[in-house]
Amino acid sequence: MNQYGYVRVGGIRWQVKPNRRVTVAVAVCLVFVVGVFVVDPGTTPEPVSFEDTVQIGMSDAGMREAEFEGYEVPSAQVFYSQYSFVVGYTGLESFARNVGERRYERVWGVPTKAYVTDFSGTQPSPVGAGFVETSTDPEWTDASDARYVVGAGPVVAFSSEEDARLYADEYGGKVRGYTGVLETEFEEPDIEKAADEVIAGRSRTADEKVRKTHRLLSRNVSVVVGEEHETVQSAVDAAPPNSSVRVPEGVYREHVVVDKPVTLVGEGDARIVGYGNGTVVTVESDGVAVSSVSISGVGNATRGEPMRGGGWDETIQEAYGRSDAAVLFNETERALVHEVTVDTSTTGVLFSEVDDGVVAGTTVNGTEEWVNGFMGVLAIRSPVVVQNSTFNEGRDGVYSHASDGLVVRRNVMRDGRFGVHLMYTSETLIRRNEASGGAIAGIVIMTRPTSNYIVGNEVRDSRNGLSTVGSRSYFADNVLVNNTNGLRMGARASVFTRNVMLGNRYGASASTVLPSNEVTRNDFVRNEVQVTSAEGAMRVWGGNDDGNYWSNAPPGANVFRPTDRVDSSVTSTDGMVTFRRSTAYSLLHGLDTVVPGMRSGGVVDEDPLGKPAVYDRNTTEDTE
Amino acid sequence: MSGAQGGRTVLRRELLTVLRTRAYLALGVGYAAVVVGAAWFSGGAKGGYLPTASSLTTPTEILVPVVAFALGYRVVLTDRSTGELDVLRTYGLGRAEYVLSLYAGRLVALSVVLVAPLLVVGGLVWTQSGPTITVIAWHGGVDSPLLLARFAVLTVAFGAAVLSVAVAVSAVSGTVRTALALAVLVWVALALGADLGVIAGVVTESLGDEAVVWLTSLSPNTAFRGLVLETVVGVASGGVRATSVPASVLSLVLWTVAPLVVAVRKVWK
Repeated sequence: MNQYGYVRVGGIRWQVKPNRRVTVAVAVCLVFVVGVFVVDPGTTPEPVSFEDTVQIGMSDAGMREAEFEGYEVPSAQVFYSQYSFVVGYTGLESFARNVGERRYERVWGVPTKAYVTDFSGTQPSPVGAGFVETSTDPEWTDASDARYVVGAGPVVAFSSEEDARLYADEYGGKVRGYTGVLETEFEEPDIEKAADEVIAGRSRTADEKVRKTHRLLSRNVSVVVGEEHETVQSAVDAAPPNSSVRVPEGVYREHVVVDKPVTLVGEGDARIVGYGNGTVVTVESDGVAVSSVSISGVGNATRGEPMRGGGWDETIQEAYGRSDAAVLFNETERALVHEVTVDTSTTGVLFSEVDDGVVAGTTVNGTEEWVNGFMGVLAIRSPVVVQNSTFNEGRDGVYSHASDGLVVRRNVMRDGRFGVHLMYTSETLIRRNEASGGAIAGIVIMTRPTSNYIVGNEVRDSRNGLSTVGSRSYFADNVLVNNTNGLRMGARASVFTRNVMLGNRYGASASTVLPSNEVTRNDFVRNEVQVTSAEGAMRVWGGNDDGNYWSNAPPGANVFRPTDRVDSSVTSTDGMVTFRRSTAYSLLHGLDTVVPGMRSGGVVDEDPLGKPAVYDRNTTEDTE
Repeated sequence: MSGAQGGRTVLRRELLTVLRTRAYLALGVGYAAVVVGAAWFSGGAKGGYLPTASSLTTPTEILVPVVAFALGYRVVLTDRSTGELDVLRTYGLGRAEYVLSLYAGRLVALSVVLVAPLLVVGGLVWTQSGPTITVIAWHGGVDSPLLLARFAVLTVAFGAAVLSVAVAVSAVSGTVRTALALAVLVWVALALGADLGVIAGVVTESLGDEAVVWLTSLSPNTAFRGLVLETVVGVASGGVRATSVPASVLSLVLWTVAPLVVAVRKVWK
């Protein structure tokens, strides 16, 4: 028992007795305590199948085209420290732009591991539109060790420095390292700052198309139907090119083929009535306008052989692009439908591969039940302008397929399935349309397009107001009233600003699993449920004094959690405010926005606005 | 009886006391309920170990001192007022043995109270977190049970420091009333005072920016918070430091040792 040692510390005699059990216990504790801090909690993930990533970058149309042609799109897959899903980038430019951007870092954290497609040994050559042609499929390689060729078509990564040099020499690019490529400025303007310019630019292009086609209305009348020629067709046949054919009041039972540049102008109640099968007016020439007539007797077929086969979208063209129509423009330029009234059980105006096409001041009345009808205007690979027109019932007011550059403005859509329906269509301007009674939606965007500008539209009394997907798009100044779902935010890396969600059952749903949107200065006014969010991550909005207005937020709140039961009912349930202001509530939510990307759902607005950004009770009424 | 044997006797007695005191059991159960509840209702448990740890930081920082003070503020006082201390002294028990044994006994109890709920929370995260959408590749971000283990270690280290302060309070106080008043005073100073002082200094610009990172090591609360943000939450973020890790570790060590030295010196003359 005489094994004690004595240690003198601070004038006190400390007695130390070695005891094996205690020593072992203390040692184990120490190893544990030190160990948990020494061991790196991170693991190095292996690349996953690219289809399983949450993707951002190229549109579906681009991806499908690449797949159809057998091209590769240089891609990256990134594991972020605070985001539970693997992010896939189609196009290394979008990867380089996003890494280090503060608003993404805030939610996703920093990349802990990134892989890029390795073009070493695949004999790559750039083929435009962001595609690369190769002899074999590229594998994944560590992004931080790869070499990148910038400036020769899309950015391409190589695991071998020599392959990168050869590629750069052959196609005129520069070789960069990982940090080099991340620091490269890939030109893409800030969506919000450039918005006015983009809208003005697209409006100007549309104005130019309108001017160009409206000149067709000032042609001299060469033939009047009923004078020497009984039918519209014979009048057209007799008319010299670049003149007008006048169609006086009356009913003309016939189908017309216009194969020369003439303008049909109705006078009074001039009606062209088809036989109920096929297209009524078929245009096969550039420079044709149809004005001031009404057309009915359109056939019932909505499908047929594609007009131009062989592309990735052949089956889509077959299913949609061969519908019977009141007026069909097939691969013609300067095409105008002006102040025409159409009654149709299928399509009103069908454009196929038309650039300078315009529908203006026209009314299309479709079927009462949308399932029996088809599209008011159907644009297949046709960036046309549809303006000042009315679409009643039928399926979709305006349906577009692969019509990049489409402009739809100042139209009224009522009681169809969709007001505006964009498929594989990017770079549009959808502006100041009024849609109501949509069985499924007012304005709907599908198939992940990019750079769509949906601005100043009003949708009421529909199942969905504005339903979005895609990326790099701009959704501003839309008013969504009394819909089941106001705004569906499926789009990514986009801007949602100054929209008003009023009196909907669900004001908005943050539905994309990749929180990457700027959501600022929107007004959420008296929706039954202001906002819902998909699983995947907590959405943190605001943060730069530019949050959103929430009619149910308590005045003066500096953080508002619209998806939280307590916070969202503070202004409606007596007593809730007392618990909202409790220490317990603060304890629960004190640090909940620290790692939003690892949490499961919910919306937090860090800068709720004290008053609406745009909503004015006097100008926007909910029609209860 | 030798001093060392006396020390072990005191340690054993402390453990038995804690075990037999129903109020301490209630304290432990209550604390566990709050921690597990906070992990669940903050939404942290569904997210992963890291979000859970970040959600528990504030409740822990507020409650650990309460538990530690409850366990320690009158340990010496009770022995003094019941006369047990005089009896113990007749066995030749040294001041250091006495205080350290007392402290060690209470620390073991405190550690159990602090760690047990975190084990439950760990199990909760283990079963509840994971892919919410199965069609997309899920990797969970930088997350690991290790991060919750770090949090547990930091929680115990923080508790050890505050318990040490509590024992010192009980050693310097002449009456329970004084001890209680001192305990509350110290808790307020730690939980609010230190941070308020620094924030006031920053707002009035009487503190330079370069001082801020060092002031995070001043009180055990800020040292704990800083260490959690740096070594648990910080593994998933880039950017500025939350604290200086060595300085805050040193701070927690000093906050543990210094009050014990005071206690040893004041326990009897």
